[in-house]
Amino acid sequence: MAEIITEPLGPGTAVVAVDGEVTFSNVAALDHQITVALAEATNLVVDLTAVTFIDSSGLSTLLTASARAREGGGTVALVVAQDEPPSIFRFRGVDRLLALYPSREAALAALS
Amino acid sequence: MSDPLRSLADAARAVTAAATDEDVLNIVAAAARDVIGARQAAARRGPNGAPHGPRLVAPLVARDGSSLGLLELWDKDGAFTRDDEAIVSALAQMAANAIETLELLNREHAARVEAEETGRRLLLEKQRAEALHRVGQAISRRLELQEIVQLATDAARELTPAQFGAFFYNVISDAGEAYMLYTLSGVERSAFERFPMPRNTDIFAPTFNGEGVVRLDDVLADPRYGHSAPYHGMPEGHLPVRSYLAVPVLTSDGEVVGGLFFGHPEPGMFSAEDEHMVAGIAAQSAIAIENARLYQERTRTAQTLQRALLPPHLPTIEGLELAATYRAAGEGNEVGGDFYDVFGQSDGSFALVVGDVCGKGPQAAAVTALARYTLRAHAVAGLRPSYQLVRLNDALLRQQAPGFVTAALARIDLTPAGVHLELATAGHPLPILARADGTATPIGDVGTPLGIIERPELPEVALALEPGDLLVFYTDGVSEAAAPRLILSEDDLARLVAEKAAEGPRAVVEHLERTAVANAGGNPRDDIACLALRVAAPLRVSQRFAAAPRAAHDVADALAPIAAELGERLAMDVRLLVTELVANAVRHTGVEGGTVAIEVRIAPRTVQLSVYDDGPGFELPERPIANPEGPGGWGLYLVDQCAARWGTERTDRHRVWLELDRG
Repeated sequence: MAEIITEPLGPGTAVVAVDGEVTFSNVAALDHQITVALAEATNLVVDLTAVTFIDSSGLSTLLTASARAREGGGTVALVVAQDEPPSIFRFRGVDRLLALYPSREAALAALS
Repeated sequence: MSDPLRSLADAARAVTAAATDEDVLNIVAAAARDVIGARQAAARRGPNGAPHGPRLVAPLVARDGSSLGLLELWDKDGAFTRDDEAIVSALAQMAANAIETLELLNREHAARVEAEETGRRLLLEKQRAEALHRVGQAISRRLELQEIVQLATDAARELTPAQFGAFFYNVISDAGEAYMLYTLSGVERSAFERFPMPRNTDIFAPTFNGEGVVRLDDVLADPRYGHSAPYHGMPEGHLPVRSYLAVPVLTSDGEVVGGLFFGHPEPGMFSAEDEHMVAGIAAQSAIAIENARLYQERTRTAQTLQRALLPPHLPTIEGLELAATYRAAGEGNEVGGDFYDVFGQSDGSFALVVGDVCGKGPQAAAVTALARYTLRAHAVAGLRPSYQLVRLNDALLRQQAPGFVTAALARIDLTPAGVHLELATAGHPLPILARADGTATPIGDVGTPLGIIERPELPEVALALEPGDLLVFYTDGVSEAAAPRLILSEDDLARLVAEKAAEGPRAVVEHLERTAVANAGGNPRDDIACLALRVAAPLRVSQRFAAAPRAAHDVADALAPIAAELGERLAMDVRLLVTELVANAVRHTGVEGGTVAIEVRIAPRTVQLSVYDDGPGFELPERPIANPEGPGGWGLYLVDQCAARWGTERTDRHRVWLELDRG
């Protein structure tokens, strides 16, 4: 089961850290957490470093969040582990639509 | 008194221009009176006109001496002179000549009119004969009912004065319901579409009851017209019919097939000849319609019989994947002689057979039934394939069945130790074995066809099958579809099978059938039957769970035991794809309390996944599936990107299958 922690990080930016697996069975929780965070912050870092598996419903939620942030003039930056990323990030076209970073620092640097 | 010579000259000119005998006679009488000075003159074609008394008479004498009439003068002051006599003779001659010329002209004219009339009649007769011939030809060709009635309606309208025509006819649906259709000629369909079908009104009844022809000079004036509600005549906006001709179309046993109806906006257009003409066309088209119906009936019977001679669906056998195709030759109006069957035997083995009964039609169908059920009857004995074929041979000889039967029969034993195949072939094209390693070869030896001799030679081969091995049976409809121009050898067949073997039995049998049909230019003359089996890889995961939102967790649990064997990366891919397919199933099952089942088979080179659900299935998108641009549509995109092969299938449930290559 995914564990989700949201922390504010300075004005206008929040971090959502996700742990475990994201599937169509539990994606609603992530979706809710992101919606809440985006109500407060313009930019969002979603840290997926501790995520071991994510299916297309998780991907869909991240793409929707990204589009919503763009509407508010912000960005959603994703942090994805370098050594063993969830297999969905290996597919052609996924990286084209999402901003992927190897670390939380790199993501924050890109936002500032 | 006028100048006599001038009067004579005027009269001479006038008679040549006269149009009738009467004019001629009047002209000469008037001229004679004037020139001679008599108060009375008469010219007539018969004698005895003038009163008694002194008179001058000159006969009108034709060139052949016969009398054409008289010119008479009387009531003159003084006596007639010799000169008078000469003048009257000249005038009489003039009149006689003119009358003769007129008669000649009239005869010529009449002859010309008659000739033209004859020509017209001959032309019309020729056209009518041709039209009848056209309708007649439709009988010998196998035209569709619709084409026949259109042809008849057009022909009849063109050859009568009809301005528009219609053919209302009864048809019987496959479900046995009778209804009425119509075809039109000389008028757009839109002109009729608003109106209901004609009913048994006083005007229509004699036609629809088959009582006889109705020919009316003016339908509006007929006492039968205008009595039926709701329209009391033609409905508003109907074509303006005055002249009316309706002919019933009756089959040979007196059944009313329909009626031919013709109309014209003017009264009095249809003659007795038109009536005969249309009656002729009606008789011809009745035969054509009967033929078309018999043909349809034969097609239906053949298809029903054909269905009864093939298994309605292949059995589900754990450890074997099966697929078959069947295509009867021609237009599906004849029962083919090819058959296939798969059935379990009492010892736990399975028999697979493909056969070809020589001939077509009911006789072949009877032999096919005999063959299939003889083989099934001996399933209880669990015999070796060659023994089973010997039993069939005996049955055919005992039955004195006409012709012969070729067959390839395999017995498959699925044991924990492996899959064992025994194969016997009786005069049949050799099955092709495609090994999991990609090679494909014909196997077995051609034996003796069955039903000819008492001791047929039926060589048997036995070999072990491995997971992924694929065995294909087929009939000569595949190899000889384009004979004699092109005959596929067994090696050609092996090559075709190898092309598709990796995609499984369904892809192989469809490939063979498609190739055969294409080789035959789309219209094979022989039946085509194919049956293929593949030895399934060991079933490593088989789980069924509720089609509910928590199913992603069930997938994770079900796949956990094989993760180590697959390796981390492949295991994650397998999990992703199964999760996607299960997510689809959960979303689309639409059945309360529905379930999803997943199966994973691990072959040496591939991993095979199946996801079954109770849903209606979905339309496969065009492939390759485009990279989605938004949040939706990723599930099938991931499947399409990751799977080496995938597809859907409808058995008792909806199944999506896919294969991932290992390594």
